Amino acid sequence: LSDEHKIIPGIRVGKYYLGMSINELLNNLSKEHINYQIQPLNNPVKIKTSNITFWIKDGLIDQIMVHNNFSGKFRDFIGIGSTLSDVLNFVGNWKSGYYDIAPIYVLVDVPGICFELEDEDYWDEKEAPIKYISIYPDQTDPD
Amino acid sequence: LSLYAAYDAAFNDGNIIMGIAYLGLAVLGMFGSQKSFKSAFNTPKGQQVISWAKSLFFGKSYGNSGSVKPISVSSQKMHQLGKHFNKHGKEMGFTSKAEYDAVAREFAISNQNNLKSQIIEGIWNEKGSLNGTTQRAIIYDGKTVIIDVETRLMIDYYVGSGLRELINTIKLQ
Repeated sequence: LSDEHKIIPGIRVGKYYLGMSINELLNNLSKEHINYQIQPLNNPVKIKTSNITFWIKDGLIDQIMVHNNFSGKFRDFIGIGSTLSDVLNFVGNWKSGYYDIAPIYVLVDVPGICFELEDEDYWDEKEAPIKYISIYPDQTDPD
Repeated sequence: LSLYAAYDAAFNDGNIIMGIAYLGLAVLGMFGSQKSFKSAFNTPKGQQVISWAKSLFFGKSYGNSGSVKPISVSSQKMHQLGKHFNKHGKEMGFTSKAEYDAVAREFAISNQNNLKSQIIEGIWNEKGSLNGTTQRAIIYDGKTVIIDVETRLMIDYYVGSGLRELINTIKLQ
C-alpha cells in the first residue's frame, strides 16, 4: 500500500495528519474534488467525507476516523472489515475501554488508535467486522 | 447572549436582579431576532433558562419538570446493541436483544414525560465516533437510558445512573 492510505496511530491517516489546520484540510479536499459536510458540534467541528471524518478542535485536526469503503490499513493488515481476532494475530492484545456505554477497543501496547465494531445479528466481539478506526493524539489515549 | 447572561447572573453569581434584567433583554431580542432566539433555546443552557424563567413567572410549583422538549427516539436499534445486550441486557434478565432493545425504547419514551425522572444532557468525552456529541440521559427508578440528541439513537440502557463519559453536564429536569 502507498503511504497515501496508511493509518498511523497518534499521527496521521495518509496525507491527513493530527494538528493539520482546517484551512489546509479544506484546501486539500477541494483540490481533490472530495465532497464534504461540515457539522458543528459543541466544541469540535466535524468534517465528514464519504469515508473519512475529521474532528477539528481550535482550528486543528484533533481526531481522524475512517469508515465505509476506506481501503487504507494499519500495519498493512488491519482495516475496515477486519476483526479483533485479526488485530490479536497481526498486531497484539486489545482491550475494551474502561468506560463502555459506547464501547471502543484500544490496543494494549499501541496508543492513539481505537476500533468500533459492526453490530450483527449474531454478534461475536472477536469476529464482528471493524466499522470505524479512529486515531487521536497519544496523550489522550482512553483508559 | 442575554439568555446566557441571565442564567449566569442568576445561578452563578446569585444576582437575581441582574438575571431579571438580562432576561428582559432576551425577551426584547426575541422580537428582533427570532431565529437566533430559537437556536439558543435548543441548547442545554437555553432549556435550563426557560425552566428558570417559567419558575420565576409561574412560581416554584411549576418547577423544572415537564419543560424539557422530548426527543423523538429513533426506531433504529440501539447503538452497539450486541455489546450492550451481553454487558447489561442479560444481567437485567432479558433473553434476547430484541426484547432488551424494545424495553429500552419504551423506557426512553415513557420517562421523557415522567415528572419524576431525571434528565441530564452532556458532551461525550471519549474517542471514536461519538466524540463531542451531545447525549441525553433519562434516569428513573435506578435505570438509565442514553440517547444521542442529534441522531436520536439509543446509545445504552443499564441499571445505575453513572454518566462517566459525559462532561459539561446540565440537569434539564
